[in-house]
Amino acid sequence: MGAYESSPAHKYQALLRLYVATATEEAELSWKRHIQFEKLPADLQTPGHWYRFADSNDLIEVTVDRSGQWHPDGVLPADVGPKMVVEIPAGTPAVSLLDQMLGMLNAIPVIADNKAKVEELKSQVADVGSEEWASWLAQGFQQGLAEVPDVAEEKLRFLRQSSQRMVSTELLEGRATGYDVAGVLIVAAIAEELMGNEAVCRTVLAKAAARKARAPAEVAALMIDDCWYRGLGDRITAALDTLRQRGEQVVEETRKGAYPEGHPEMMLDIYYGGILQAIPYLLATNAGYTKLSHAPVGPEQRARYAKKANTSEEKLVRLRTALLYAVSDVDLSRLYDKQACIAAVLRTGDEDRAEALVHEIIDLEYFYPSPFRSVLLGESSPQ
Amino acid sequence: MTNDLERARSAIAREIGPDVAEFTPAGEKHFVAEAALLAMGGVFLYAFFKGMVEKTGESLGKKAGEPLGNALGSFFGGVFKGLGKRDNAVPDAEVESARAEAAQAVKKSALTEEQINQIAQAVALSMATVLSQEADAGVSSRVAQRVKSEGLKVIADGGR
Repeated sequence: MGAYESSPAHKYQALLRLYVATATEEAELSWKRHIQFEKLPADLQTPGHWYRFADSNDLIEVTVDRSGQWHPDGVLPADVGPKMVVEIPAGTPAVSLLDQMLGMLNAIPVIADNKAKVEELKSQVADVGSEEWASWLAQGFQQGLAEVPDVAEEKLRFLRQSSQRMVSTELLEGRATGYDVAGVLIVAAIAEELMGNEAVCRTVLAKAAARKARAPAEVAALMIDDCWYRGLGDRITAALDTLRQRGEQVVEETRKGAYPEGHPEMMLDIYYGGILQAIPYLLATNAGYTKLSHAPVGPEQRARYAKKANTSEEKLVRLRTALLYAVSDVDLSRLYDKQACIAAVLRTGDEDRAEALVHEIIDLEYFYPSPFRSVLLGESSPQ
Repeated sequence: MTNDLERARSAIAREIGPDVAEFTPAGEKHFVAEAALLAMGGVFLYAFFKGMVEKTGESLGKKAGEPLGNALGSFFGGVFKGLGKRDNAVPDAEVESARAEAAQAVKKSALTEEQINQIAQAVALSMATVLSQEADAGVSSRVAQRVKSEGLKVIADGGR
């Protein structure tokens, strides 16, 4: 697979991807819980337990086959006693993702050439995800939309370029969070769907540009409301379905593990970058359908919207978990552990079990791109 | 379970994998590991074999029982409530037995390959329709087609 260097820059990128993937507070919470779980004795980290975090009422059930269920109501089934629940203590607070990134930036020797850039990165990472930052992004987006000539085609061109820039530059470089990008994607996707009626499209976009919003996600939410009450529910769902489809396409493309010719060592960074880029599409689908599930509709329609919100969320969780995993595996130690575990299974002659483990790691958990199948099976090396 | 059945079940599990949340109960939040996916693959395969037995019988003039869509509907209705949970799996021996039954029905029918394919397609369509009552129609159709192709392969193997 080529030389893979576990450099500070590599670690910084892994932290940043997790930090901005959805919302920064969500990332910090998942990191905190990950560290709390890791501190449990090894025998309590094995499958076949019920868990509850100290600061939460939710229950997480992990069955012996490593499947499980999240129980947000915190209610135990009748056949599970409270003593069977592993309470995960708060423990010593983990060093936050933000503090880790700032620490790394502070450790960079300052020379004249990089001083301004390092200061800019520090300020940017400290601000992204804040209410002020989201508000600033929304204002810039709305202003840009308002300034484009009032022609639907022109507006669409602006929205396509904005979407592209948000997904491929702003998100990857940590200047926007997944939710910020998802907001822009929803506005653009609905506008595409409204092109069949240019007048309506222009009116809806003019309103989206003019209404006061505290974040790009709020611009999108207001636009969904507006379209819903204009009787354009089918255009909203078509837009959300297109976004979901696009997100799935990004995941599938990413999973191929492409890299520039001669640079296989870049495969993993490109892979996790692709996973990050898929997230806003699924966030958009999830946020849109969650909102629609609260619209005044009949129970069947509501259930359909809730199901679509749920299925996109399930994929989203997998993608986010892969980014969390990438932070823990930045030195590839987890890869080697998994390789050793699979090798042990292969030594018993149980090839099907080994294949199943590899399938779970690559195809279900998205921890590595498909070419890592041979690495996990010990047929090639990542270095 | 024989190797060919295991391969078929595994192929179906992999088809379901990316969209597993389509097949778990609405309102619940699951994470499904490989073992539970394989159990789901076994359930789908079992339903296909049973459908093939029923439809092959019908094509030979046997009096139709409950319409296939209804039968699959009630079967999957129960299955949906517990998909993703191991205790909801169809035991390997029952999947084996259903395969043998389907292979026997197809063999005895003396139908042409094209006729068998048509029957399998009808079963897959019924399955997709039933699945799409809870899951996305595109995903339901894709999974049902995979069940059909894997199911037909092992029925052919079992009929030899």
